[in-house]
Amino acid sequence: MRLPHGEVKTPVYMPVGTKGAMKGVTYQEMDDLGCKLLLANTYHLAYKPGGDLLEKVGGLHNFVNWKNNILTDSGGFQMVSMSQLSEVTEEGVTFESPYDRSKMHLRPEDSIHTQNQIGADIIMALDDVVKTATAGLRMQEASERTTRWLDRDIAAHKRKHDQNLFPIVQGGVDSKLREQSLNDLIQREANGYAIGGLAGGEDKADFWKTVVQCTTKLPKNKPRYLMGVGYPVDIVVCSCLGVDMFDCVFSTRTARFGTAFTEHGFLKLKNNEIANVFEPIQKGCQCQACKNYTQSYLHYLIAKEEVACHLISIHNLNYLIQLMLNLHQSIIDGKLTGFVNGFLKNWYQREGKIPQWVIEALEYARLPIEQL
Amino acid sequence: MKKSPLFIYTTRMGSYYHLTPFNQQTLNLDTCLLSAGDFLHMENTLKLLQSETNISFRQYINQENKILYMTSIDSYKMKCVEGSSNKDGVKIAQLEGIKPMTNQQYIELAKTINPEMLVSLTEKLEIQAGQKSTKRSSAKSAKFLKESLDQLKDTQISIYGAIQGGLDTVSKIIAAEEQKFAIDYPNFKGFTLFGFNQGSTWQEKEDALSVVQSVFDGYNVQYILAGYGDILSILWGLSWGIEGFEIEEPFRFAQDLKVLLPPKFDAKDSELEQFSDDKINFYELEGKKINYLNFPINSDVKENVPLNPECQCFSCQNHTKLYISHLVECKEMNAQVLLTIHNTYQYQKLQQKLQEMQNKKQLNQWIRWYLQFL
Repeated sequence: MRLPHGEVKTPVYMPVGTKGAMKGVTYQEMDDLGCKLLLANTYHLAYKPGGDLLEKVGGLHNFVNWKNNILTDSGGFQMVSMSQLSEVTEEGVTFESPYDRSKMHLRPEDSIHTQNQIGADIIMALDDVVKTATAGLRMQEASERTTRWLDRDIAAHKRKHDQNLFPIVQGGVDSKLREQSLNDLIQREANGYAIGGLAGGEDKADFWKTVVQCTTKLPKNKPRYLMGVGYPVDIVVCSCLGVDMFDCVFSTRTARFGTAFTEHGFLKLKNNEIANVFEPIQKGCQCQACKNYTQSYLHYLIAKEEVACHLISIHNLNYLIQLMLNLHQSIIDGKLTGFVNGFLKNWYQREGKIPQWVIEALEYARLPIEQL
Repeated sequence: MKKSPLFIYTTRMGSYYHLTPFNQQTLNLDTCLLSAGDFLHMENTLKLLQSETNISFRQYINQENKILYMTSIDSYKMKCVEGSSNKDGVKIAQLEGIKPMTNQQYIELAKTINPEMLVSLTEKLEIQAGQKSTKRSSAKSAKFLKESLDQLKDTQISIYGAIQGGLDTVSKIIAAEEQKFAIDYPNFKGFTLFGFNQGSTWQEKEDALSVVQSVFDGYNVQYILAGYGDILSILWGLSWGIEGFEIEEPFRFAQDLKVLLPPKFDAKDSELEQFSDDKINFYELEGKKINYLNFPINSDVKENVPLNPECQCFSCQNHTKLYISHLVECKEMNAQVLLTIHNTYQYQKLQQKLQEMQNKKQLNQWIRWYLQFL
């Protein structure tokens, strides 16, 4: 992808810096990891420091001193997940601010206006967000309303020359609603498309089939962004199914609880058996944590000093960034099958078995998978 | 001691407050205070590290090429060492709570850590401790010092005694006299002075220091000041011949969301000439305060400037007051990261200036010049 603040190799994992900061990790460290695109959250930034102030200082890039690309989401998901939701009408969403309990009203025009002020390279259309498991009329209503709001988002968008507006495909796991949403969105030409409404606890079979339905239909020459997905297995599989962009807070959130990503799965550094493991989290990893410390030291440090959490966050971010870069390279080199098989073999080594949904999904993608 | 003044930065288990190796790069931190209580629960792990790996302790904590200073009392823990009726040890704060530790355990830990500088084990007296308790503690500290000197004589570790006794001059003299024997030991280097708390007057501090120094007058003894390492104490202490300072202040300030904004350090020779070269007197420090900024501040566009436009630290070169204030308001820990970097940088600049002034034999003149702005 060529974006206003530089080129981004895909598939790409986008770290989440919700309020204009990655917890414990400076933007300079993010740059050092090779991160070219990260997320910020309109919902939170609209409250603090506010869209007007960000506009005055020249946008979020200037405010946080980040020279690479930024994607902002619309705030729709946070409204549903964080606020006392009062009402969704055709006009917009009325909700109670979790900061000061004041009543707030967000229309598509407001979300786009704030995102214009923030100045991200990719911005998201405001969507009518419902839980993935929602079925029936409410899901249909949300899906159809998202399309109508998209038209308002497009009309309100004042920076078409340097900010790419991505619509969000909805419909939950209902294939008919998804199809309708896809048809509607593709008619409104965009520079990229997001797949929303998944990663909400749905059955994995429904998950991957819905992803396929979307990636099959969406334009091949436009990036596809699967929102809220960031488990290593999920992003490898979905990359093979045609997804280009991913985001998830899991990598840093779990790091703050002492869990690190490794090629063999999750490593809980707080466990007692780690106390005497004098190896890095992941051999060969070039992150600060692995180059300078052992699992043993981090195990003890977690209890004493927050820098341990910073280090594990850096490791997890590096793991995902490198995973995607390696996957990208394997595609270039024509070695994707070998790469994916190697990844799965390591990841599921302890369990001894690759889950059926993974095999089925990759079979669909015509990647022959060797069972363990 | 390698250079004076020596700033000994506190750590938690060898890691600086909020500083990853990447963020340390611009700071050139070359010292590391290690608190015994941080390692006592790791006895088994450290034994395995030694016996079953090629990883040195310094590599383990990622502090190679640093001056390691090991002590039992750490200013960031409120009550890390307590007295004990056991004459062979004290009670020390560990991960699992306050537990007994013998001097023998302390010495064995020192052998494992192998620091350049070791403060011998000591008891921290209760504030209202009576004379009997004070004498008993002094005797214990002296005993611990002798045992350290004897058992570590074949190592490269420089041993420092611990002078307790608060600011009571009698207690201080007792403590100093009890440990005077150490002068005859080749691995003895000096004393770490405890009890010079911020709440006391400068006159009390001056009196307490004077009596200790009078006991060792004529001997080549180094002094290290334990505590937070606030700037005024450093200026005063250096003027009075203290060469090393435990430093916690830049981290404490950052934790409290405060930015150190000391005055400029550079003075012309002509500006210094008017000042006396004598030691700083206590009354010259009274009423003096270091300037700092409290976060958060008003979210005004005019605050979209560095903390200090002339500061070359990473935080001032890359971020603004407005952004840091935003981080504080959002309770994002990156605020503490950036403030730690700035505050520590200020200390390093101060250290460089003090070294320069010592070399030029203009130290006290410079301190007097500097105190004008506080």
